[in-house]
Amino acid sequence: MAILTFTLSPEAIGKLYDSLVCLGKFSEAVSIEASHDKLVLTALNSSKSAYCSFTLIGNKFFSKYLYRPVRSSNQSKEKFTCKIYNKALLSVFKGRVVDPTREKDTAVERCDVSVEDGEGKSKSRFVIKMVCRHGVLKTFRLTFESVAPMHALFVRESANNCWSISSRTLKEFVEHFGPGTEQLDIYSEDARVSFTSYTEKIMSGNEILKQPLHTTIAVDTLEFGEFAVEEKLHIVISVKDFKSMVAHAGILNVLVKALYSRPSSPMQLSYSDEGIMSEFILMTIGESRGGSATPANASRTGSKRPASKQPLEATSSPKRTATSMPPPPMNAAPSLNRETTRSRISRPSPPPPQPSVQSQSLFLEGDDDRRWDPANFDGEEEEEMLLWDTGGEKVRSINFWRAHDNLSKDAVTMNSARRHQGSAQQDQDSNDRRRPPAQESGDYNLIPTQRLAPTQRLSEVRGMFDD
Amino acid sequence: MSTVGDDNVVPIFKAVSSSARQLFQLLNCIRFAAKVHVQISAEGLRFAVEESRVMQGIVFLDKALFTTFHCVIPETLDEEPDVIDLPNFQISLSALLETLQIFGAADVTSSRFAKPDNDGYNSNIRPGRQNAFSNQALGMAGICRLSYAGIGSPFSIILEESGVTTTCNLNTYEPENPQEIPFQRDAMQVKIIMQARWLFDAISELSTTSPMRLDLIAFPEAPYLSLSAVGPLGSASVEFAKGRELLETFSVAEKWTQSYKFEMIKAAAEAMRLASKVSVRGDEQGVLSLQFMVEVEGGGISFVDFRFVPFLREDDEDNEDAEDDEDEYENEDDEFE
Repeated sequence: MAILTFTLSPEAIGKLYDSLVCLGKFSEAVSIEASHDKLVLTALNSSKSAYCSFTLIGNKFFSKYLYRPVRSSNQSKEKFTCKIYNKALLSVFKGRVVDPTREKDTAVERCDVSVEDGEGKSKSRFVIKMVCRHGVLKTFRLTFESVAPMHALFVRESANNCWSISSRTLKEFVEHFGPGTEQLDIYSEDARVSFTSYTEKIMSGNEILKQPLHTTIAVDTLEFGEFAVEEKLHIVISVKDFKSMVAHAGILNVLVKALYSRPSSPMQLSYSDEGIMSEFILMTIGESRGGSATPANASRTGSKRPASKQPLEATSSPKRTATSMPPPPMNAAPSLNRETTRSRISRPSPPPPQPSVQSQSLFLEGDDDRRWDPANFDGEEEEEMLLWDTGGEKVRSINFWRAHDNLSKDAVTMNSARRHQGSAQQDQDSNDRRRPPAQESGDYNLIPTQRLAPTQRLSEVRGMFDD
Repeated sequence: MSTVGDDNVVPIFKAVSSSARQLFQLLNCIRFAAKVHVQISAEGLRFAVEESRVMQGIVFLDKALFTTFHCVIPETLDEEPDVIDLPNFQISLSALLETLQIFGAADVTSSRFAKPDNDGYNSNIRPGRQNAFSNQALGMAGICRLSYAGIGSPFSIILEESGVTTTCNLNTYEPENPQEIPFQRDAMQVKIIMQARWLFDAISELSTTSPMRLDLIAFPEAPYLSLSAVGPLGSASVEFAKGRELLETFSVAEKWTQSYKFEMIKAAAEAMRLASKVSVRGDEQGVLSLQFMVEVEGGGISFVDFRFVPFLREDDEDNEDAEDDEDEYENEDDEFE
């Protein structure tokens, strides 16, 4: 008895394939979650910093969609979840797009998918039947792993920055990003938005491991459908993830909407086409631009917002819990002598991109701003370092993807986190008073994770967070 | 490759072809072993390739493919008039193919530097046809001379194309005296003639699961013919359910199930791609014969023949794929020696 059956038209097969290709850029496995009205395909990358999800609407995307939950002893499952190796799915759906130059002898007429999960009695298989012309029937029975997917959670309410732009326009931009670049900085000032893809110079002794490379595309805000972004806010995401998104969105002619709050909080990119809703949640990198002038300003305006708290949550079905951590305060005013301080710190690998002197010199125009605020110079610098550390970075990303492994501990952490958050908020108006809690939370972030292998479960290190 | 000294002896075999391309296309179908066994007769050239005594590919280049064809069978000293000792030898197949495509006889899709299919320019309607920029279309067709002087001498190929002449002498090797895989025509259980591209399509579909084994089942009624394979990520099967429309000739007396090594069947994929029709035959021992009808341009019809020895049936089938085909396998009496 099939739990889930659905039928795809040839066009839908093509769209599904495009989605799978996109998911494949994030992870080698696709998580599938079926409920009574929709099918959700998700992928989370291995560093848990990027998440990609496609929601296929049951009655819109499919020609037929039926979900029949199994009534097990206690209660019927609300959702069916499984994980399939993407390569297997890709090879099944590959090349099904009806090509006019191709002979139509073996073209697919429709595709019937049924999922059987026998729980011991019959076999559990993801069965895909391609019904082709002339009665040729191709059946694929794929094995799957029955696991609940991890979803990244994005809190829309706290995302105060928002823009939308045509996917075609984005596609044009992306073509200019250098092939070797890693980060993408999005920045707006005076009705101009710059997309800068760049790689910081990384040196190991005298050896140059990476050459710096910057490509900036400046766009007028008129190009955007809507544009409501805090001025002079630098937001940095991974170029690769952004490109993966654009590669898919570029196929369609849609409006891509971006929502984000501030560095080191996730950014959401979403768009929808007939029957498919696409969502990408990408982790943004903390302040990375050496000479960026604005963070002090940004955090100040940020602190005035009622809900500047950025919970970085992860949900996982069927249970759903959320953890939240106070993001370390974003008072990241850079300092003139930051490089010297940086160079003293030994970083755990992989190192975050370090602004090189050269690259910084490209961005020195805004330096006036940092002289603007010399009072908390030292303190901020120190916090900035902590923030910048991969240790802190890891904690945030752990939170970002964390699933529900320990409910009670999560609750404790949440409380303590809120407490910290609250105190941080209260104190944010005064820089002097802000320092202690900020540093405290910075320490929380830095110390435990720096000593832990990244594979260690967060639950095992909870003690350090709870005291 | 060596040079031939001028011999006064009349060569056993001499032939001229207007284009190396047809020869290349046909011989490329059996490109799965290092050496090819060549037999020369008055009717044409027979190229046989075999792999571990369980797979065999034969291409017969009929003399109609050549503009001139001379074959002088030397008289044997043995006083056995009914046994004609046809000249036969082995040559390197890859060297032969390299030679034939020296002027770009290979079409883009079949060369070693093949691009992924469907780059927009090569439609797969009649694969292997000439396109607007092939040498033939541009009037640059050259000629190809083949000759073989006798035992111990090289097989020489002279290609001339737009004023450039290439002479290649391929060393010949002693024949290995290979036995043909016996196919019992009188005990034939399955005979299906269908479009070769459907078989090609099915095989390429199944190859996505990277299977080890191909199961071929023929039924007297629906689903008539089913090909299935099991790989590490799942299983795949292709059924030709509307037998009457799809299968030109279909004679299957009873259910016939056999398994073959997938890689071997896949080695015949080039022939499936090129051919217009295929005759799938199976005998009671399970030997599979695939006979491809290839229409090469200007050369009429040629046949490429494959034979495969099946896997020995075992009782402990891994029951992965046993969902559709009930395990009613009997033990195969004996595999071909």
